[in-house]
Amino acid sequence: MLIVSEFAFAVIAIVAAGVHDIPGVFYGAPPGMRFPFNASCNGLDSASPCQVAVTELSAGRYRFATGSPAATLTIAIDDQDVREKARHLLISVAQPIAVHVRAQSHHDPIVADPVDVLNVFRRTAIPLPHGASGISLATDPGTGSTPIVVAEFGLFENNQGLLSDVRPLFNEIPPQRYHATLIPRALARICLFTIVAAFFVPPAWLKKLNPFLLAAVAFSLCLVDLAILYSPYTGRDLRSYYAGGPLQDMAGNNLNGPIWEAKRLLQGQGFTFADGVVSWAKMPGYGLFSAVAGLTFGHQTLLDVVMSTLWLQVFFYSAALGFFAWAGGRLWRPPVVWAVGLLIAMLPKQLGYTQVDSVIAPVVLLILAAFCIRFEAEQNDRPIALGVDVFVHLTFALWFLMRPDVLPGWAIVSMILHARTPRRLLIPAALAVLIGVGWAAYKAPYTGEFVPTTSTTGASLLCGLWEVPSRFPWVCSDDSYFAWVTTHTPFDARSQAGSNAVVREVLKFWITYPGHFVVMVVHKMVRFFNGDLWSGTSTDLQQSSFQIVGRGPLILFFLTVILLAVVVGYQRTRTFLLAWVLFLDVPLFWIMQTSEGRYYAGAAVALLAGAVPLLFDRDFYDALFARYRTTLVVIVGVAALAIAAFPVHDWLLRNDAFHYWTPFLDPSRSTWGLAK
Amino acid sequence: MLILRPLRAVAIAVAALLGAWFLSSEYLKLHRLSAWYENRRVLAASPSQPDYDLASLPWQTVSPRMFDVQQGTLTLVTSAEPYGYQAFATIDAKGANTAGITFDANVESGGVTIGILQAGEWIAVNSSQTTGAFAEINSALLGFRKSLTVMIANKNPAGESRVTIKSLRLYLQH
Repeated sequence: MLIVSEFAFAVIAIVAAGVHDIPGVFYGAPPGMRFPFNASCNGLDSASPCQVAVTELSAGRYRFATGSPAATLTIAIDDQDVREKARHLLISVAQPIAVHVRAQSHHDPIVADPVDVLNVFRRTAIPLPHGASGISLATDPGTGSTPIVVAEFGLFENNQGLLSDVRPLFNEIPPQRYHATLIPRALARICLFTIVAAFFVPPAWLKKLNPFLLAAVAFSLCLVDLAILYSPYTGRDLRSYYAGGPLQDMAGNNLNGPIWEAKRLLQGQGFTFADGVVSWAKMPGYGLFSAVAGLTFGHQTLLDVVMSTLWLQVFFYSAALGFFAWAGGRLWRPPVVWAVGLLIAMLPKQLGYTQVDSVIAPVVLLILAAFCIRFEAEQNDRPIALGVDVFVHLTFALWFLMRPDVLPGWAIVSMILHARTPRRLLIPAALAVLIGVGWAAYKAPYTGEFVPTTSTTGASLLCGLWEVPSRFPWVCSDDSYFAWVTTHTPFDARSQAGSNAVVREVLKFWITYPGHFVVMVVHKMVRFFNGDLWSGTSTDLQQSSFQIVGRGPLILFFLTVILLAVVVGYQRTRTFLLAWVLFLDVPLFWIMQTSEGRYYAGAAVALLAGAVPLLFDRDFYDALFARYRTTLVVIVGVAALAIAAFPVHDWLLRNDAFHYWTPFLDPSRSTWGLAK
Repeated sequence: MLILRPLRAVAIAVAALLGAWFLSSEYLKLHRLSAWYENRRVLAASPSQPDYDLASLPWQTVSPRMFDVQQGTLTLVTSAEPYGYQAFATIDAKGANTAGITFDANVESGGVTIGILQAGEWIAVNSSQTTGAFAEINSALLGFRKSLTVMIANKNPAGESRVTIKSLRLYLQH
């Protein structure tokens, strides 16, 4: 019972660590004093009036931004009660470089010496004198002319929870060290301990508890990761970041497009991100996801929709892992499910971003869970119920609703699944058509085109060309894509026609420079296997494990396990399908834009789900011994590839004769065919 | 199977004991660190009565040209060895979690290092290579060794140094 208690204690510790981070990550500060105030500014250009934009970040915490360069910004406190009670000012300044902050009083215009606050995105808590009737911020005449942007402003009765979180234990450790280093490292070790301990927990208990415990642990680890990156005590406050960053940009970019879509949809303005503008670059799934989040958790302001979306992302990830654990429990022993589930929960994530790539990992978990249900029926020689196959394809459809890159993989997986029951291919076909035609029909009145997916294939292929070191003077950017389409075609850059024109030109470029095509694929492939597979932002939760076994060797090990199973024929189809993302989705991004590995979000989940259960399967080792020659060939082959990968990669990058070889087409006929 | 059954029992026992040790050591590590930060804050704010001071530390010398403690003030003229240890006091750590040191000195020539060693390693160290006032507060998380050493060393690459230490206090905090 001791080890069961230790297991329980470890799980409680992991969950408690994450739950503790909820206020810091999602609210950013304790509730401040809400009060009537009057914000005014003195512009540097006295001819035009100076306006102040105010955003409430969280209860009693505000963002102020002058509309034009200003010399001063004053926040008058109009409530007598607040003047009496306010004892601490929480402030952080985004620009200019420094401001002088001073408290004022009706009786005495200056009641406190000015405090200099620097724009290093760090908070400052300033004690306030009794009866302060206003706070004024003044810029230094020498700091240039910029608007004054106060990223955070709040009045508080006490300073608890402003600069550091209030913890029941270890309260004296500075938050940066505690949250960014000590806790993630300790949790990583505790997680690894539970993998061992799980083998000593009564299997019947663990089987019942796995879905709930793993969901709770995933929820906690999501928050621990977010707290490292987005807690005001360690990095930047999540609400200030969105209010001052993505939400200030023009509507329609990666991080704010779905938020605008959701907000406008919930206000009855259509699924658009601006009047009459529908997304050309995205499928509708993530915008709808944000709308559901807004409906569930609140959508009064754009910032509310952002925070609701982030909440739902965390819940979705946790629930998807819990569901995968439940489904995996039908196939694997409970401690094995715990090991796979926990390792997946520990993976790097992208949950701080309101973009579709953040939810691909949980979608992959749902697909793999559906596979597990199907495999269990096969394993027990039961006929596959229609409902199971419909569910499998619904999970793929969910990915298609989010991102179109699933289509080739979905088609191939469908053919494998239904090789003996081809009529069931109608299920994926019907779902794909339903989603594609539905989206195309919705967009058509806005765009005048019938496009079932996105109009970004050309942009992605073009960008992919320049993500590899070369002497071509082009860069991967939206601007360069728009400029090329506008200059070389009569089409709108956001149109399918424009994208098609670029696709043709990229194909011509591949044929013109076959060496560059090879270099591009090899470069991206090597990067993928060397670590890009662990897509997302690595924190110390992962880094501490990667320090034990490197990112690359870890990938190589798990991949070798999967290859061994496939080659020796041990659970070949099952293993291939569990790891299908690696084989049927990832390679697309070796010829398209990879965006630093952002699109690989589901690959690590597939790698672990495909490989880890095999490691705990005695029959797998029996199969390897039974075909030891094949096993050896695979191991030696992988080792040889691993050893040769970097020398070949370096040789390719250095070998200009091959890189810029033009055997088929005249390079002067390609728009981009002029290497430096 | 008869052989494997006791082996499994042993494995469970070993895993349970290792688990208990591992979890408690994770807790202790954080607890001790938190206590160290707390002690550091207390030390900087309002230190209580020190466990040792200049007069009560059991000083031993290595090879200084002059070592003289009179009326609570220590005058030290170092040897010419640039970074050599000059005077030290080894005391019982008394199971303390942290050791804090505060001192107020005046470097008259050369440079000096004042700090704490444990197991031959500096765990808290302050140096001055300029003449004039040299006052610091420092503290260190102690290891599990039973003793610690307060050390004064020469920090003058050119040779001899001269320093007057008006006060030096050592706090052992649990």
